[in-house]
Parts: sequence; structure tokens; C-alpha cells
Amino acid sequence: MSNRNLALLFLLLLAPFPALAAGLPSAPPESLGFSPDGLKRIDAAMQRWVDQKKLAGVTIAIARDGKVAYQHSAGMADIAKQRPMADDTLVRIYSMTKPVTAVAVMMLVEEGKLRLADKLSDYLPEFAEMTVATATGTEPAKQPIRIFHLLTHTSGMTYALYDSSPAGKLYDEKDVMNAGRSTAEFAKVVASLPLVAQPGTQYNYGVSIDVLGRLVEVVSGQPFDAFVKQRITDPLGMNDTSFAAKAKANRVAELYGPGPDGPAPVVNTVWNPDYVNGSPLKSGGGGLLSTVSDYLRFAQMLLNGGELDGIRLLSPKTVQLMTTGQIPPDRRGYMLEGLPGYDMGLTMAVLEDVGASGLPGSVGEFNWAGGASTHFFVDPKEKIVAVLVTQMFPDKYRMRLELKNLTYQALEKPHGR
Amino acid sequence: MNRRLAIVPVIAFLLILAAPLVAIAAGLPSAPPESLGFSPERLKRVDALMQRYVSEKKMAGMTIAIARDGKLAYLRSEGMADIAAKRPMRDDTIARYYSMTKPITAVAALMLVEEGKLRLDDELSTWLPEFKDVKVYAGQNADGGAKLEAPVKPIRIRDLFTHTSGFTYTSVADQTPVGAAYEKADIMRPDRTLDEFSKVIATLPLKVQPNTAYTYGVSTDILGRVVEVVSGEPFDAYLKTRIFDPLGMTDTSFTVPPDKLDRFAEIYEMAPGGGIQPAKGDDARIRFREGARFSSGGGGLVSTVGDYLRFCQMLLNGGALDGARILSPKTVALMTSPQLRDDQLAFLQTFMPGYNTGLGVAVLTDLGRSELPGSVGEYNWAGAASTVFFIDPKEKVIAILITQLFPGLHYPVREELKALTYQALVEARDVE
Repeated sequence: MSNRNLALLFLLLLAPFPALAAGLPSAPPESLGFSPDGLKRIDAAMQRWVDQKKLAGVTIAIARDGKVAYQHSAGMADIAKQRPMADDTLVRIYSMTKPVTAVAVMMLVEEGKLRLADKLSDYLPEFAEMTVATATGTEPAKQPIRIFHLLTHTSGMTYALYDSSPAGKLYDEKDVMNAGRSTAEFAKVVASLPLVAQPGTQYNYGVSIDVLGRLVEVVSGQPFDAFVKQRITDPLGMNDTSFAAKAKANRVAELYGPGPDGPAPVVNTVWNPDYVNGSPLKSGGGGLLSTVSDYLRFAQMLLNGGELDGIRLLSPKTVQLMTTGQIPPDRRGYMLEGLPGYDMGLTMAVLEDVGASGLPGSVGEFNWAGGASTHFFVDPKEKIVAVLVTQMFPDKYRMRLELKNLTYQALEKPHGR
Repeated sequence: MNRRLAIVPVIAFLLILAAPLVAIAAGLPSAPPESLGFSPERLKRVDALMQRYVSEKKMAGMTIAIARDGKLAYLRSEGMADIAAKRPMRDDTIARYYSMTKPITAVAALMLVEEGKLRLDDELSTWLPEFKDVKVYAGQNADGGAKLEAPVKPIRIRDLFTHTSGFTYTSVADQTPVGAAYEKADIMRPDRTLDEFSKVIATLPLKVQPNTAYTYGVSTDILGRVVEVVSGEPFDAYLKTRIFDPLGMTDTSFTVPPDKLDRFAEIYEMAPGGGIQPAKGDDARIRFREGARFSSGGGGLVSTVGDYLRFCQMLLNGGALDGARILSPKTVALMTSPQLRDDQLAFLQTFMPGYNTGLGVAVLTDLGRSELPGSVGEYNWAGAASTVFFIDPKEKVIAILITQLFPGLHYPVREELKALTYQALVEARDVE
């Protein structure tokens, strides 16, 4: 073999390493306090979900102390095309977009351009005079929507998807999440609709974070996708995270729903717009494509107190505030049932009562999930980040419960006791 | 002349030179911000905030100081102390600290508690008999007169610290008939002594029953009178000998001496057509000048950033600074611990959600409800001319913002000071 060919071979050998570097470095699981036997149970569980035709494909990554202890894929990213699920498969992370948007908002707060106590209508005047839906009609909002309310889902905004109340029905009629509208137009539609509850009074999962995406545009003077790229995903090296796959179309996983014979492709719904070319709506509540490796980096940045590999996005005290419970139990509404033991931080749930949660974990653990059964959590006491991606819409099998259980059962050496 | 003796005047000269240097360092020694865990780049955002306030003519001038571990990481003054006189805002500008006097009065009273001369549980009337027959406002009678009741519980010294005495302020802060009665009695007249002031207050009804609800008012001024009676010293003299002199707070007093008037900032208010104008009220004109007699423990002190930094650092250190022990650490811990039940705190929490009251300061008990970065246990207070300070015992951080603008709650200075300080703190110790 000539020297040139040797050099070429060497380069080819090196090639996979930059791809890995896009995530986090690896280390032997034992060195990070994980049991290799315990981690094998995760392989088995993932294969079981695929064999039982619950999921087409799935990837789980678990890191501790900034190093990957476990990363494995099973099944298919696209069954029809026989494309296997892989570490670099692009997935719709839906609501796991929300913490990214929260980071964008908090960066502007740190710059002094925005305050959590500010009224939304100071920046988006269309929200100045809101109404609240009642059984018989509407009543005026008794207090203004503030930025803090949006970040904690206490604005009174809702989704059509989970809400059959009069307000939810109006969201459905107006096709609020129609991706054909620009982010600015979207905000105006939301502003024209009544709220489901008085601002500041109750947790209601909804379009609050999408509206924050528009707020970032107005305060920063940049399109939301440009802000996210320039200020968050580029600095953190999240090269596969965006609102449009473009040239990476062949790496996007198919979106599935539960069909009679297992996962069935979901096409042409409001929740599955054109992810290849992108849509006018840059949804801060659910519009991003990402990979398990990219999201590991994002979550590690949060665990590090706002910094990764020398790039600082936020101060540790801002991240602490984002991951501190913010709303008293009497305002948590249906969150009490969906996430028992959790308080709400800024776009992320924060564990305040391990016993009530019914799962192993640590007080202070924070997490969020995406509509296609994706999930991540960060445990600041154990220094653990775990990410699960798949593409099953909706989250029929409650993958949050699986990821937490499987991660902690494999953890042999906890810090937190 | 002996060589060894010859060096004495040199040393004396050097000491004289050194003395002003200590003052210029504004209270505490400085250190590079990076060495204290602050990002110099992010501290530039503090510059930007001050420049914005000044250039937009929202404030004449502003000083911000941020210290950690006993050292100054940031100190900067922007704009003017007096626009008409063309005097710039400086690190040694003397300003009206108003309610930032309250923590100092609390320390003064707690020193007497430590000496065993006063107890928090004592009834106020045992020290100030004029309050023996004080009545509580209970609504209007049919004839339009005030209905008065006897107190269910006596006012105790602790109630003066926690604003649960039932005392209030004038109608500026209190729109009730009690506030109007305070207004009519012109309670803050600068020509009254503390003794005379206390006797006027004792003739007015309490706004609410003692020991029931946080009600911001003249409690701390009355506490200043208690200090006089218990110590047997005029309140201003007591503060000077027991707190200001030991801590080296040389520019803190109830009146500005004539030779320091060229360092005294003008006080501004919102102008009707936008911008600011020199404040018109007598209060800011006559108080703080020689001849005024009212030593207001609730709001009468003028000070400088350097002096107030030293006071704060004494608290952060657990009651001592540079060898001067003012209080024991356990007394400071009590002073900065939450004192009231949630159901007593409605008024405080309308403008400071997540906070309880300590003794003379507000204490953060619920970070999530505060809507600001911070640490549980952080304590602070503010002054009517838009000044504010906070102390974070977990992060060992002190921050002070000084300006001279009425009214105090017009701009969110407390929120901005906290947000800017914590965004620049990149090496935090309490983040789990």
C-alpha cells in the first residue's frame, strides 16, 4: 500500500471520530458508576419494544460527569425503506424544543433586554386585551399575561390537541398550529382567541412557548430560527438541530402512530408538516429536528450550569432558576396527575418529591418530553443526562417511565445518598 | 538626626497618603472580577444598564457596587449627582438612603438585645409608656367617625422589626383613614425629636391588630426611639459610637455636614412632561440638612456606597468587620431568618413574591416564586429614592445600587440589580 493510500485509510479511520465528537466523549460505564449488566437490560428492553411492534426504532443515550456511559439504537428509523435507527438519525423532538426556546428567552433576560415580570403585551401588543372562555361566553382577563406565565404554562393558553373545552375547540377551529403561517401571524391568531383560564392561575399545557419564540424575534430583531442557530445550536456544536432537514433529508426518521399491526406512518397532519424544506412557522414549542447526540450536548450544557466546552450560554444562577419549581400545588391543575411529585420550572418539570413520583430519582431532577415519545432528563445530584428518542406519536407507552427506571436500575454508585 | 528617627515622618506621611486610598477603594478592597467568579465580559452588561438609565434621562446618575468574598468585583458610577451644578456621580457621592436605614436601626436594637438590656418579647409600652392605651382602627361608625378597638395582643419589640405592630405610613403609602390621620399629623416633620415623634404616633390608631399582618410603616422609627430610651443615648450618637465609628462608616449620618455638601447628590422626581426634575417636596429639602432634629431610624440616613458596603460586609461576615465585632453570628442568623407565617405576608409578597421578612430585611424563602435568579437565604431592602442592596450568604455576594429618584418603585431596580449580578456570576457555589 502506498503512503498516499495509507494516509487516505488513516483519514477514513478518523472520519467517524468527529461525528462522535458531536455528542459527548465516552468512558467505560464502570468508571462512571454504571453496571454493564444493568445496562444490558436496556438493550433488551429496546429490542422488546421493537419486537412487540410498539416502536419502529429507538435510541437511548446515558451520560454521567459529561461522558457517555451508554448509547444504543434498535429497530428502524424507516420501516418501508429499511433504514435502521442510528445515532445520527434526525427525529422530530416536538416539545423538547421548549427548553431550547427557554434558553433563548433567558439569554435575552441576562442581557437585560427582557424581564420575567414584564407584560407580554409590552412586546407583542396584540396580547393587550385578552379574554377568558367561560361556560357561557367570555370574560375579560383579570391580569396581564407576563413572560413568567408563558415559561411556566400559566398564561392560560392551551392546545387544541389535549383540550376539549370551549377554548380548546376554538384553537382547533382556527387551526392554531398550522405551520403555513409565519411565527408573527401565528402569534396574532393566538391573541385573537380566548384563554382557557385566567393568566397566572393554573397550569395549562399549550402554545405559550411558541409565543415565546415570537417574543425572541421581536426582542432580538432576528428570525427565531436564525437566533437559535446563531446563539445556541452553532455555539454548542448541535449541527443536526434545526427547523428544516434540507440536505439531510435521508437521515430523517419516519413519523409513526399506533396502527393495528404496529407502527403506521403518520402523514399530512398539522403535527407533521414539511420538515425537509421547513415551514413558515418556527415553532418554539415543538418545531425542532435533532439527534440524540445533539440533545445530549444541550442537556449537558444545562447540567454544567449553562456552559459546555468553554462556550457559555447562561450563568449557573439562571440555570438554577430555570430548574427550580415555580408554581404552587394549587395552580398545577392536571400536571398533578400527569407528573406527580413534580413542580414546574421554566419549561421543564422539576422533581420535588421522589416518593410521590413513583420512580427512582433525585430531588431536583428536571426533564421534558416530546409528542413523538421522546424524553430527556437531567439529574444534577447524580450528574446524569439521559435521552430517549423514537418517533411514535403520541406517547402511548409513556417512555418517560421506562427511561427513568432503566437508567437508575443500572446506576450502581450514586452520589446523592 | 538619627536615621531611624528620620523615617518616622516618612511613615506618617505614607499613612496620610494611604488614608484617602482606603476611602477611594469605596469601603472594601478590590480584586480582579475573574478571581471572584465573575465574568468581566458579562459585567459589561451592568455598564450598559447604567448608561441606558442615564442616557434615556430616566435617572440623573447611578452607582453600582458588587462584592464577593469581601472584595469588590465591580464598582462604577455613571451620570450626574447634580445636573444643575454639573457635579458627576462618583463612588463617594453622599445620597439619601431612606429605608436602607432600617437594617442599621435593626442592628442597633439587636446590639442592646445582645447586652441583655432589651428583649424581642418585651412589650413596647414597658419602654415607651405613651403606647399603653393605643387603639386599633376598626372601620367607621354610623356617624362617620372612626370605630376604635383595644388591641387583642400588645405590641412587642419583635413586631417593630417585622412590621406587625399595626403602625402604617402616611396616605402616600396608605389610602385608608389611618393613613390620612398620619398625614394630618404630619408625622415626619423634621423639627420634631424622636421623643416628640413617638408621642404623636401614640395618639394615632393602629391600622391593624398587633401581631397579625405585615404592614409597612413607622415601626422602625419607633424602634430608634426604643434604642434611645434603652441605651440612654441620643439615637444619632448611639449609631455613631456603636456602629459607624467601629465600622469606619465615616460618611453616614442623619445630616450632611456643611463641608461635605459638595458631595451630596440632588434628589430627582419624575417630571410631568417626561424625564426628571429636582424633587419639590420639603421632605428631601429640609431633612438631611443641619438643623433637622428628627433622627429617623426608618429612613433618615445619608451614606455612601463605600460605607454601606462595609455595613453589608459586616452582616455577611456574621456581625464583624476588620476586627470590629458588632453582633454575634447567631444574632445575624436570626436577623436574616424568615419570621412570619405565609398568611401574614400578603402585602410584602405583592411586590416581593417568594420573600418573608427577617428583622429589618426581607429574606428569600422560595426561589421559584421570586421570578429572579438568586439563592434561598438572600436578604435585602430598598430605599424610597430607588436605592437597593442585597446580600447572598450562600454565594458570599453583596450588591448595591444607588441613585436619587422618587418614587422608589417606579423602575424595577431591585429586579435589575439581581438579574445583572447573577448573570455575571459564572462560578456559583449554590446551584443544586
